[in-house]
Amino acid sequence: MAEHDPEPELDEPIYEEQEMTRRQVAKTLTAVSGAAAIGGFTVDAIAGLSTAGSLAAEKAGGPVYVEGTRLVTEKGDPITVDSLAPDEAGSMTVFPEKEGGGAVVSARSTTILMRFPEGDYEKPTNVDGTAKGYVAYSAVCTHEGCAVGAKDGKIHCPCHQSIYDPLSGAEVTGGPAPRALPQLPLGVADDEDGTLVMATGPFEGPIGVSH
Amino acid sequence: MPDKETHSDATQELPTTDPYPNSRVFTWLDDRLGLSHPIMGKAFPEDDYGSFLLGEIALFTFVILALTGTFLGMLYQPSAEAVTYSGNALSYAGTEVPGAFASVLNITYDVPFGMFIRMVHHWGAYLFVAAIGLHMFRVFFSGAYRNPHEPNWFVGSGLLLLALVEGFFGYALPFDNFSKTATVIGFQMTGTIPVLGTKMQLLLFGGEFPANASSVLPRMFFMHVLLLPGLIVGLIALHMAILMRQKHTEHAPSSREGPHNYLEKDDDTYVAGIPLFPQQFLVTIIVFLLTAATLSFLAGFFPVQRIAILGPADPTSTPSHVGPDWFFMWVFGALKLVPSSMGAFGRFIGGVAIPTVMIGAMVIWPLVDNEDEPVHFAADPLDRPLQTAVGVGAIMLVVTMSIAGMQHTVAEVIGMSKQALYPWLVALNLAVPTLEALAVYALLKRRQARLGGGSATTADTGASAGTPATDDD
Ligand code: FES
Repeated sequence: MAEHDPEPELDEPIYEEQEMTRRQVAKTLTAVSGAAAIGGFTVDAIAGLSTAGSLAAEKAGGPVYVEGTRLVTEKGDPITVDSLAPDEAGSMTVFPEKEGGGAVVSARSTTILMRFPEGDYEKPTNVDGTAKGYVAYSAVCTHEGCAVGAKDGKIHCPCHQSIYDPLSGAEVTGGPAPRALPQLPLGVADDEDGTLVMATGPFEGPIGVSH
Repeated sequence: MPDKETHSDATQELPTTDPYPNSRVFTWLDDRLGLSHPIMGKAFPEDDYGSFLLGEIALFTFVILALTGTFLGMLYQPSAEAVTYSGNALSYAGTEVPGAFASVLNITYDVPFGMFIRMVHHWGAYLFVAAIGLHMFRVFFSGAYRNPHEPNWFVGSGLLLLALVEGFFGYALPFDNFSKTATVIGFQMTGTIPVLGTKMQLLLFGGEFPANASSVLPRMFFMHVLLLPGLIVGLIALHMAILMRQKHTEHAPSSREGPHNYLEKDDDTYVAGIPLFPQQFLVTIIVFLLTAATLSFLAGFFPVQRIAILGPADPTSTPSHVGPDWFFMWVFGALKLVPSSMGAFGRFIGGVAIPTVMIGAMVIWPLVDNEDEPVHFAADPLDRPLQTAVGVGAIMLVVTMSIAGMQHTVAEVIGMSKQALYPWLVALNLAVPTLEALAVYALLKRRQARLGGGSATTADTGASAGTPATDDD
């Protein structure tokens, strides 16, 4: 354009253009280095903060029961075959016994123990995992992790009203929970403390919420 | 419009310098600080309903929250370790409770005025969210989010979200059995976010909850008292800067009727209203004092969140009537409404996807309902059938979802089993908001047709409008 128009503003557009280009380069460099600085700090911060968290999170893993773990009350008293009456659909909250006595009390270890007449269990209950009519399930709701409780022969979650049927493998019969509570296989064995209820293995599925 | 002039009755009449020649204090300050800055004449819209003060109520509530929060923050201990409580709360005296719970018991029952200030803080949180919500209703229904005010709608939405997150972390801090449950649910919900879920859990909470409560509580405390309030302060500053730059939206031109003598009733090159100083300043002081008085009254006579009754966090049990604060009840309802058959994905849908879509729709609304030309006057909601219908339907949806959130209580009150109630709740949530929105739309359209018809064919509608039959419509 300037070539065809040799009159007054010949040098101006060229001068302007050069100046703008330099300025643009400077701006771009500033923007890039600024973004890199802020981005670098942000990545550092996020990585640091979430790694510190993940180290702490690992402590929560691992099996809660192993074969032969005795079931105890929160105070650490062992559960015997007489802890619940045979035909009353009774229930209690139990825990794995700590090595050397007492109970391992945590959200993940909370277990719900119920007793029904022996022939009442249906699929998909692991009937071999019941003993003398006792059945045990994890007490951590598979929906968002609240602690469930037993009422009228069913297991209820107080948070979003999920309902589990303990006679059929704690299948979900109502509410939003996505899957059944994991069952804890049980057995009975004689001991100096009486005829005790104990685990014959770990929970038969992931405890609580899983993704 | 940045180049718009600000005029008001008072500034036009006031001399431009030294408006208070008799006040030595004013003159002294004015000499040094130049108080007669044009900002003092910033016009605030006149408002017959007081609805333009809702934003101010939110602002002052935040100030009160910051002040009471400072008091509480100095006494609170973000610790999950068991300590022996020895204080006035008899049912816990001499028992082992988590440190956080003990410190809140201490604030509530042992520190002079502690209970009162804690309750002001708690009611303040309720009022903060409520005032922001009502302020947004006002902005929505009067169309004050339209061009050029979209940026402030986005900033305001950000403030609402920050207020909600503040509410969530604040609820968690006492570490009672209700707050523990709410935090577990929030923690697990965060985990359902695809790809980023676990990362975000660790970033926001700092570890598995409640198993690692002793590392989670300090992080939540820090976010609640520093990070989030800092962001809120920043966004409030931005919100006000944009407001100053753009000027308020003004009530429809009818607000310029009366004794004022404006050149053009619908001329939007200037703003009419009362000046910031001294008129609006006095109104503002009254609003502040009334806000403080209301919170004090509520805190004094209606103590909420009685921590001694809720009991300390117990990882092995969940209380039977557990629920979040009212402003999260709709999310709690969304979690309940998603059926079990959707499996783990349903958890994401109910807890994350549905709330995100609803909030997202709210945020981007000014881009959906946009105007090419700048609008500086508030609209009458009755003149905007579509927008008003959408707004009413959306509010109703939040209400019905909240009802679903209270499923347990609803079932008890109407004597139905929770299972039998479920299909009704689903139907309620699908049908009522839709029907209500349609009804509002139809009514307003009809009104519009009647009024529009009136101006087009004056004789016909004018005659029929006078008959009782039309009045009944
Ligand atoms: S946590 Fe149990 S139903 Fe939601």
